[in-house]
Amino acid sequence: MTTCHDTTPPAELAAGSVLLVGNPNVGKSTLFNRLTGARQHVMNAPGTTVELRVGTWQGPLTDLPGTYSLVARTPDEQVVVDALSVDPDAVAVVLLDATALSRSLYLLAQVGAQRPVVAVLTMLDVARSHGTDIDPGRLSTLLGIPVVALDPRDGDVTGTLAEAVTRACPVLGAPAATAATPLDEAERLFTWVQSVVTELDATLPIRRTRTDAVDRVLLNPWFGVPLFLVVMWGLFQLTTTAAAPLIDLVDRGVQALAAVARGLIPDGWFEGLLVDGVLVGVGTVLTFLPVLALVYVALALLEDSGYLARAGFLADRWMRVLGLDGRAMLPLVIGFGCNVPAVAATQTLPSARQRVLTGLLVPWTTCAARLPVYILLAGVFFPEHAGTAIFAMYVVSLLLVALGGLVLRRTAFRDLGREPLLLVLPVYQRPRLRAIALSVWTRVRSFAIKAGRIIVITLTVMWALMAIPGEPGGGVQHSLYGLGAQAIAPVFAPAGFDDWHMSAALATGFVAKEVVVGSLAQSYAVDETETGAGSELGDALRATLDESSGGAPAAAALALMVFVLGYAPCLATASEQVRRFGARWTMAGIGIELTVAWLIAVAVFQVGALLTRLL
Amino acid sequence: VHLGSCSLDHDVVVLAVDMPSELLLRLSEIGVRAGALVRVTHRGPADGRVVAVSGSRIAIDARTAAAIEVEPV
Repeated sequence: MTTCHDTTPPAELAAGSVLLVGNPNVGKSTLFNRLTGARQHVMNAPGTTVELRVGTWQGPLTDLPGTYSLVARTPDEQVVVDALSVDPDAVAVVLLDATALSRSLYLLAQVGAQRPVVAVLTMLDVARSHGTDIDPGRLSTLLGIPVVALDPRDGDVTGTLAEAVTRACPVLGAPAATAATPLDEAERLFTWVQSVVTELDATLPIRRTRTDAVDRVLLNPWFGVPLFLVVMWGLFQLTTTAAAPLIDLVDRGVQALAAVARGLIPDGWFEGLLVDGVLVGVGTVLTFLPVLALVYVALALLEDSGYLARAGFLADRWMRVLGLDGRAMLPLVIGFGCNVPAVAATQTLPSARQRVLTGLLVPWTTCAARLPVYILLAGVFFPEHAGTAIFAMYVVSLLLVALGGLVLRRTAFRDLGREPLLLVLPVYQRPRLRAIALSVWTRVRSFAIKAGRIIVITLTVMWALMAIPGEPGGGVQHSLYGLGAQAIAPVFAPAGFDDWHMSAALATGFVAKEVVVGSLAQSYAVDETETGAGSELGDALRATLDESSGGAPAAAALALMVFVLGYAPCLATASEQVRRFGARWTMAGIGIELTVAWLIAVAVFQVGALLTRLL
Repeated sequence: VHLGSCSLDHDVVVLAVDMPSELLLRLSEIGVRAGALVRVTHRGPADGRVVAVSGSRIAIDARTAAAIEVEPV
């Protein structure tokens, strides 16, 4: 343990690890970005799904999750407690919000009673606008620790803080922890906090602010909700309309690269492995990067500006039905565009359990990639009511999310409880583009490296299964992949589509939902660009389902549509789930989705077939 | 009088909070505790409230607002 207050600065601390601690929205991550620049990476705290950012500044620097207290109520807060207890000599840089000094000092007292700490005083300009000017020097004297006043968003923050870290000390006079109950312990701390605030004359009067004026509109019961829905619509558009040309551009680039590679590498298995396996895998990863980057930018803008917390307040009533925080609305809306950034967007939720639950519900939001399958089947089997059939899939999707949420909340997530809404709303601020760019780059790079590895390996294995013949005869049907599809097909007999063309297309759909239609066309050796009733593909599908369903092809087609909606996330989504929530939750989620999708598909087919016979 | 029934922009003092101890602790930690001066600044959807505590704004749901007993200043 390091002690000081009047001794020589413990210079060796500068080489030790530093932990950034503070309340949510106090500027911690902004300061972390300023200190580390690009020398940072994202990782999960050991044994948890809580994301940490670790970088290099005067040695290892860790950006811990925001917390109000060391009496942990969520896994995120427990990570802070654990990180502090694992390394009791690490310097904690505790950020103090000048507009909420009592709240910040309470945490500082818990963190710094027995470990070396430095306080960083932020939001001084906002406090001044309330008519309160806090003197950092006086605060430093009262606390007996270095106090640095800085705006993490502006100016040179490195030099002053680096020097302060070498003088880190435990807080002078902070009550040490006792065996009292948490409430009694808190009372002791509040008494100490109040004495410091009174001594400092730092009590902020309640005043109307610019943020209040903006909230008059944005939180208004009449205007706030429509404006919130516009923001949600914008996020959805970002994942579809805005991302489409970028994805197309990347796709064309990858195809051009594949063409060059085919020209350079002699025909044979090595060419297949490199181009159809590895390169297709890398291409799949690359096509997700633009949409991920766009969504990350949008989320960072919403978070940095202060609107994200308001969105949570506005949507709280709806999401509370599912036992989720109002902010869970964002990933679920994004999911209707693309599931991959939707899973990534769960990062905005305040607790790890909520992130996992929301992340497990995301695959039931029917992403844009599933639409071509609905259009194909609805066009062939319900030509007069294709629009209604497709709309029904969106209704089923919403029901699956709602019912899935309710069931999970009463089973695997019983511990979530009915949490009241207690949300500290940050002051509105102008987002900083440099900080956003750095944050987006770090997260996109993390996806490309970690989820990308899983995608490339899986696609390479799939290529090998398709390339290796399992029995005499050419084509996918006789490959190991085709034989696997034939072996799986009987499982779908109760749902009316027990045919290898269907099971092979569904297996391919696990790689990417976009390729289901192409896979079907490929297995029938017909043109995939012509769909609908009367097309070659349409006729082939009708003949297959007519036979497999025993004369109820429309019921089988509807069952297939429902199965495609619910059966499993695509490989990229699953990889992102593994990266964020771990393999166990991802596999459990896929198991639940497969079971539920199969049960619903069977129910749809059995009822549909019965009606077909009766009518 | 409880916080949910307070008029906008009037200062009140928190007298007591009727909640389980762990939630009571969290409310205290973010500044809503007996003796604190607070003011309802906004009404949100579903009767939620935004409460000013010192320089902070805290959004709470209707049920929580109803559990906070206050007294006008």
